Amino acid sequence: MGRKRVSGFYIFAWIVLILFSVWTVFPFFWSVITSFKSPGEQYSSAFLPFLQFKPSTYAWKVVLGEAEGERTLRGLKNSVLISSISSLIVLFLGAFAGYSLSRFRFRRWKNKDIAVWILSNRMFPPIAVAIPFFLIMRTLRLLDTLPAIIMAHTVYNLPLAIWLMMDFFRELPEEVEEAALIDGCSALQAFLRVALPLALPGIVAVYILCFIFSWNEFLFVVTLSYRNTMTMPVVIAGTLTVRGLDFWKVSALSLLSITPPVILAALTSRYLIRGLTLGAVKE
Amino acid sequence: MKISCKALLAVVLVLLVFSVAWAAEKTWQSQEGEFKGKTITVLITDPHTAVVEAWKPEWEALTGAKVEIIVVPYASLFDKMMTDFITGTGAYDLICWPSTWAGDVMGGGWVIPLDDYMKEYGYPGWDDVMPAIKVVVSWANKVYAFPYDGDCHMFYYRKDALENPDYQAQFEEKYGYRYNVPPKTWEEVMDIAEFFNGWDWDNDGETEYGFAFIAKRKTQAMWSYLDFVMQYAAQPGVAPFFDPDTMDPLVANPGWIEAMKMIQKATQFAPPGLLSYGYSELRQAFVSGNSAMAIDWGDIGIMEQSPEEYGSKVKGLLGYGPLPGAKKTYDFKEGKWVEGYNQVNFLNFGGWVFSISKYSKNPLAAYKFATYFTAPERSILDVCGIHGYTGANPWRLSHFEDLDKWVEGGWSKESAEKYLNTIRTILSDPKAVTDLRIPGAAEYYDYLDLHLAEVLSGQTEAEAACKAIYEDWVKITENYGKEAQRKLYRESLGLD
Repeated sequence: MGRKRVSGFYIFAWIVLILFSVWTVFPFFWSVITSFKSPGEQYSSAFLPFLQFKPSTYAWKVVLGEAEGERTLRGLKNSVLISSISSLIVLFLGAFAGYSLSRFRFRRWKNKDIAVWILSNRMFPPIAVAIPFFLIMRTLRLLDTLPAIIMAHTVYNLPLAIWLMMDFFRELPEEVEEAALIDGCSALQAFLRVALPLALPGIVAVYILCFIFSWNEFLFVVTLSYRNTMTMPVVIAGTLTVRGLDFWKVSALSLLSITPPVILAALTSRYLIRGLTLGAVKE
Repeated sequence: MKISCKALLAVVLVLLVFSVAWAAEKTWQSQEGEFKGKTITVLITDPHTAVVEAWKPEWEALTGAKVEIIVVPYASLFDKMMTDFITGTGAYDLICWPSTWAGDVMGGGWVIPLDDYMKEYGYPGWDDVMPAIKVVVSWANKVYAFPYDGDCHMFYYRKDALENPDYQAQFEEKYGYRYNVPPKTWEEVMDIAEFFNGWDWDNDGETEYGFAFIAKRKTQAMWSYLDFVMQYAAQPGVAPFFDPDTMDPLVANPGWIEAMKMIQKATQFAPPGLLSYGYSELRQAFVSGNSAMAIDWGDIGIMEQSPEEYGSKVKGLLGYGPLPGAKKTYDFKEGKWVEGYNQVNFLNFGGWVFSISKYSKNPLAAYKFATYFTAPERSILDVCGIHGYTGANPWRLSHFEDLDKWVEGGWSKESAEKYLNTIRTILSDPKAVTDLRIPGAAEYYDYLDLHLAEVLSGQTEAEAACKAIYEDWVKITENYGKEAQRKLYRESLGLD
């Protein structure tokens, strides 16, 4: 009887998981098949290539070929550069800030006040700072350059990174660092050689989160760039024209666009899971 | 004395040579190496890039200039352009923008008037530009933009349905009259739509429907409604948006309400899922053959010609006509209904135009590049399909005459002739009503679109929706400044 109930539960669980998987994977499946449909077939409900429709490489030829290939590859390159570099800078600054806020006590301004002030910067709607950013970058003659976008993304992602890292470092046992200090390490060495390696899963999680935020960011890119620093979200948004939305093109571009973050997440999934749960349980 | 005569003659000759040379330089025609080392930047959206991309290489090779194309999403174009204007950055020389923003762009003084350039350098075939398009590119009697696109809504119908004698006879038996092809009034369209709704009249094994239009919120559905409004609330040459003396919105008057009731009625004879029809869904659905009639810009006609690219199943089966009229119209000046046939052509959206930024560093090069690709012999290639889908519809008289080019672009001669005749009739109409072009036009339309969506989805009745639009429009006008808006509205209509 008990065995039967377990089997029933497992069957139910499997059905739910299969349905959930279908639900989750369907958009990707739809994107893949749409990217292999000709423009005339983009609205058809055909799902099975070769059986219901004849696959066409038209979309891929457009987005990677002579017509728009340069724009697509430039967008992809910019997305990779901007997301990677800005996330690295965020990690560098965020790790120091997070560690110092979790381990040292500031006197003039209390730690809590500093942390809340940092977080308040994340609460600004991005549009509120888009024009000031534009004016600053124009004055610095940095419009349409990678440093401008990297700086904007760094500023935007830093508060979140600091808060996450602050929590990660708080979760580490202080005793280990104290032991290092007794053994002759300086505070910086204790941070670099002990705390940082122990917080690695969290740091990787923060890097991926910042990378994804930066990868998807639209407003600062569209405000601060003209041609040379367009990223994939802006390239994709450009497919909405007065003629309407070219789903075949959006599908091909979206698949290209999700590939790097998916690869990154797959390579670091081991750290990601540990990192995302680090600091989740309070003792 | 003899010497001085010769000297005088020589001086005159030299002056003559110089003046001829000087005069020769003052032409809109680009000269070899004229802008060597210079770069002009064009801000543009897809698919208009196709035009600039097509002409860029040969103009660059001729003049030695470089053309930088900055393609931005349509949704970001306004912000991108206005940020550049307001901050005086001058990143763009030439900007391709929709003329419905004229109040903000031309009225705001952000682009340079072209009259002086046209006088000094000439303009290729100004007399060849359709009268309605000349109005679109002007503001307060000055030309601020290069014409490039002839936009207006037109009426599409399936010839195999409406011109079928059996169906015509059945219709006559049921409704007691013989309809016009194309239909002349919205009342007639409603009857025809009802007749052709919900059965397989083209024998393709699928159910067809009566009348399709853009109805989805935030996808320009308000222009479908305005096609009705023009007939019930406007008269030829009289814009129905505001009272030009008081700037009081006219949107709650009986004409607007009647138009709202008619478009609400039209939803009964539309294909399922009409409320999800944006411009792309409408075009795709209509060329796939699901409805007997539709309203749209010239784009359906272009897509009709391409079975491969757009899945058109109606190539050669479409008929074209101007917007249907109405049997009565409301005269807001007199405050009463006027019985009798009324048909108003409306320049929905008004088309895309090119302008030179006030902050352009190379205005002359921008002028010469724009005149280069909008010249008659080149612009025909952009509107007839030879350069693919460019988003530009015919706007020059000569575009309507060179049928061979249209045939080369994939059209049949008969279809091209009828399609062009329809657009020509609309754009030649000196009393065609131009779109709302004052600052905040997008905002006014957004609220119009919102309350229209409520009516089309059956949440609100026509009267209540029109009243709500009125209240919103009053608020928007007050926010922008009633007197300033009144002045600009009058300017946009050429009244001051």
